Amino acid sequence: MTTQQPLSELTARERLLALASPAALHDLAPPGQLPLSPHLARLNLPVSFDDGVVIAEFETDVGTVACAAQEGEFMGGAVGEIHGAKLTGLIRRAITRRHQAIWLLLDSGGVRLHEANLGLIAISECMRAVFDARAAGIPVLALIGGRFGCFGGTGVLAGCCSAIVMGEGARLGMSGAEVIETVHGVEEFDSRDRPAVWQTYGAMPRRLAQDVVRIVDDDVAAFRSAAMAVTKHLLTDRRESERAGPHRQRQLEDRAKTAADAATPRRPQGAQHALLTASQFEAWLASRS
Amino acid sequence: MTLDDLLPCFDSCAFQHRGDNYFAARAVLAGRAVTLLGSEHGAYVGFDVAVELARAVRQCQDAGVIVFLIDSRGQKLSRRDESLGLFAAMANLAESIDAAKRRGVTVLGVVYGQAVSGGFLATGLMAHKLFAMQGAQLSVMNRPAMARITKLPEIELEQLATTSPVFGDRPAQHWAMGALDEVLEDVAALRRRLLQELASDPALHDQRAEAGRERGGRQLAYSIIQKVVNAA
Repeated sequence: MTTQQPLSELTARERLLALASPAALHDLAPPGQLPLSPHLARLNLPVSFDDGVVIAEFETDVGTVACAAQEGEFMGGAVGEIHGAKLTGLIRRAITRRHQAIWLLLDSGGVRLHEANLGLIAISECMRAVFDARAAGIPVLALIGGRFGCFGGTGVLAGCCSAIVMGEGARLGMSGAEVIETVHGVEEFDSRDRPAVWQTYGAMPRRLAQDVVRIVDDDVAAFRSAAMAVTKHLLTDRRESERAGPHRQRQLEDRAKTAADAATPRRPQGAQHALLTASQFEAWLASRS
Repeated sequence: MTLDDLLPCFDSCAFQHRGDNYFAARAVLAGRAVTLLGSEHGAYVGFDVAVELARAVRQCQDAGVIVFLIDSRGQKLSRRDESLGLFAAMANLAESIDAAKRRGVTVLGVVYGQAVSGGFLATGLMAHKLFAMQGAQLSVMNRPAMARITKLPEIELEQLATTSPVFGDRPAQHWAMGALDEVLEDVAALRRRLLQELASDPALHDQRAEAGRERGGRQLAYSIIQKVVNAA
């Protein structure tokens, strides 16, 4: 009798259905309601009726939650014009309808390069909508548990949310290891060096640096209970967004200083910053398998 | 266009920092104190610069003015910066601008060189109003890298860039998509426009999707946003 249901193995729609359960999912853009991407069609590329993101609402014991799930299997979950407009629309809708929370299941490489500028502007609109929601006292959670990770502009979008919850196997960053290796060579970053990749983008180093509030198992129920707990916590403090900024500013300044000290030979002990050493990482990896 | 070409726009300018990666200055524009922030020579924005810029934004007094002067080829690509959490530093920079706007600071952006994704997303695209000087270049990624990733031939991308704003890097194309508020011909035009902005209260509401539809460069976004907002 197994109850574990790995989030990473589900489609975007299945993730939303599972997170909403037992409540029903109210799909805000059922098939056929929105146009297909003319930009992909023009390049003779496959299109998808949902443009790689499902948006919906459902009831929870704290009230209505607006929720989006990016489909990593379609164009790597990347953000095009329609995809981004759906996210922005969902967030603006949650503000006008005074929903209790917004959960974004991010699984995306960032801007969809086939829609280039439109994708970048769309992510910018999502970022501003997230800040509007937070200023209105609505917690916005980034839930990162997919197989494609959360990179580029979507990584920045995650950082704009009230809090980030990560699956233990998820990755989060801006430029991925492959991109850095392509530009600066394998000496800078060997993208096949799995421990190095996880030590840079993995849930554990992000949690240790406090960029992420929780790490959860790759399990739908675990994601749901973590999301509910974080949401409830944030709802008790509607003005969190005002304090969160200055707090993070201090945190990042400390991090920059620690890294600079570590790079100065005079103070080698400064190297003990928030990241794991290679041996600590190996021990952690071994403990998970 | 260089930063020095742009400075005559202001009555005076004193740099607090002008280094390889970013600058910060106090300028005066028709009697108003203005904080100038940004980068020159197409500098890449890394973790430390993003944190420093955000600190400067947070230090700007209420009802102050910040003008971002942008010439950046994007975010720094390095393992160190990714380890430190570049995504968080960029998000923090964007958040610092949002918070400044909410406490009454006017935030304007001027692209005078290049504006490429990363740092642009966290600076110019967060401003109340964004302008570009004629000849500036705005893009998501340089064309060879884009060709590699999209598997579209560079020549095709180049052709697409001339016929459609989607791949275009000219300021007029970004204006058509609603991302920019005006393309400015010279420093005199920039001065006029900045003075005009300082004379009025900027709107916090994001109107870029509407603008993109009205100007014809971004046809779908606004109607889809509205459809979702109003869905039964």
